Amino acid sequence: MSDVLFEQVTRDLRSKGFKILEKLGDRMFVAEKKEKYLFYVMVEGVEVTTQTLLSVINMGETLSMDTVLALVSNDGTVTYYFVRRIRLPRNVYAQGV
Amino acid sequence: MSGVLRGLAVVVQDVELARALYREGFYGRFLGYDKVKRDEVDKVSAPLILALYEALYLAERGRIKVVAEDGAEIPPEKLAELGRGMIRNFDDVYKIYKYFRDLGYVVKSGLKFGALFSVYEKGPGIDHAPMVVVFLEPDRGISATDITRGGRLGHSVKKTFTLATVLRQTGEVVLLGFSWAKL
Repeated sequence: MSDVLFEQVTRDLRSKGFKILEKLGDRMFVAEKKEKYLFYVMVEGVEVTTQTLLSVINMGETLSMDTVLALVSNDGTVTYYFVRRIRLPRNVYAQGV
Repeated sequence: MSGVLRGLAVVVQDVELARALYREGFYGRFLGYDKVKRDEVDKVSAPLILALYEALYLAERGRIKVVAEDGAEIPPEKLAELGRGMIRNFDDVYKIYKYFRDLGYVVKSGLKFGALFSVYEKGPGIDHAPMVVVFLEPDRGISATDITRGGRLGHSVKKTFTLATVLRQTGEVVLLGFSWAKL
């Protein structure tokens, strides 16, 4: 992988004490520090479909790992967000109608 | 049991009905008041303003009858049609509104948060932090900027927010929760 923006993510994670365990695709990999996380890299300006993002989240659920989106600015600054699918329960505080 | 459609909102003049609707699920807002608590409702004698999606939801449930200023009844389909003509993505937005309401959540405008909806378990003025729900247009993808922008909305230090969209393939409402990760 010679994508310099992608490299910024793995470099940043290593500097934070993460070990990159396995690449699972172009933008997806598993890294570990205490716990394992599924990472997905999103580059500023490049859209991904909802379907793609959902399949990444599903993958995280399947692997029982938190999914982290690594957002890379177009000059290589990285910000991380956890993402999960929310399945809302019925609100227990709902007032009876 | 009726409210009058005036523009894109519905006004409930009947004080008893207004109080009942507000008490039931914090529907609408009393003209001139904000964040009225449930036990203060009986002290308020003001018209209740319902957003179009609130009025549509209540009308579909037979809870209110919406009429024009001349008294002619406006069926739910006509309200939806009006919304569709005036408000971008009205059908999807309404579907998301209905999704939360059907599960018993209190859904209010998200405008002051820069979002689509603010969603409460107990109600505005009671919950400490609402779920800030950002709408994602179904035909668009998600970008990194959508996510960081969402993170700027809430004033919570955890920067948690929810993206809501409707899947084109299945019509399913999908909620994605994001929170800033300090790794």
